[in-house]
Amino acid sequence: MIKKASQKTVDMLHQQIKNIKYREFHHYGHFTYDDMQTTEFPELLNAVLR
Amino acid sequence: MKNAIILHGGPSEKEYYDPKAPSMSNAHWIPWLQGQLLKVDIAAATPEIPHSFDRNWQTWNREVERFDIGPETILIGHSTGAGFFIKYLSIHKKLKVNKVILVAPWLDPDHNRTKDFFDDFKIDSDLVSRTKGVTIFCSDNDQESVSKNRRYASSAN
Repeated sequence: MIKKASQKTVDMLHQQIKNIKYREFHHYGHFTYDDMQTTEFPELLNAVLR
Repeated sequence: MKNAIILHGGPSEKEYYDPKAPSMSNAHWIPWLQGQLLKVDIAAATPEIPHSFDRNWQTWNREVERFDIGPETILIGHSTGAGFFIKYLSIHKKLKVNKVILVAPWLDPDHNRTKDFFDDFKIDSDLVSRTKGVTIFCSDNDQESVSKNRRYASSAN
């Protein structure tokens, strides 16, 4: 049941919120340590500082 | 001075009480990001929600509102934490903030895992206009990751 929930949420937000931006990453899973195998997330830092 | 609030996701009860697992605000990339932001003079806070496995809006709201939220505030949420900021911005219709970044947002779209948390508000379709941009970060294998449930039967929300 939760399998598609995250993607469903992304689809819902994309459809319902005007001008929302969307950035897809390759193989980052649910952005957890287990999925990313690192505690560093430079793409996120750059997005905050840009 | 800019500030930032980095809000963690919601663990399973098993993960929350696992003595070997870090607290949610100390998990994944959250401490690293907080450190990096502090080094460029952005006052970054990482609220820790007690009993975060139990999505109780009053508890989450109380802990987040310990920090200033205004036009200079950058909001970063992971999973349930990202969903929290969607609701927060939707119900506070006059609130203006800086950037918002939603990492793997989760809003319990099937309304089967939370009650009175994400099922009692309407998304403000114009919320981006009160920010300096809202960006969703998602991954091409998020479904696969959630369904794998490597360590915890119902974590990663």
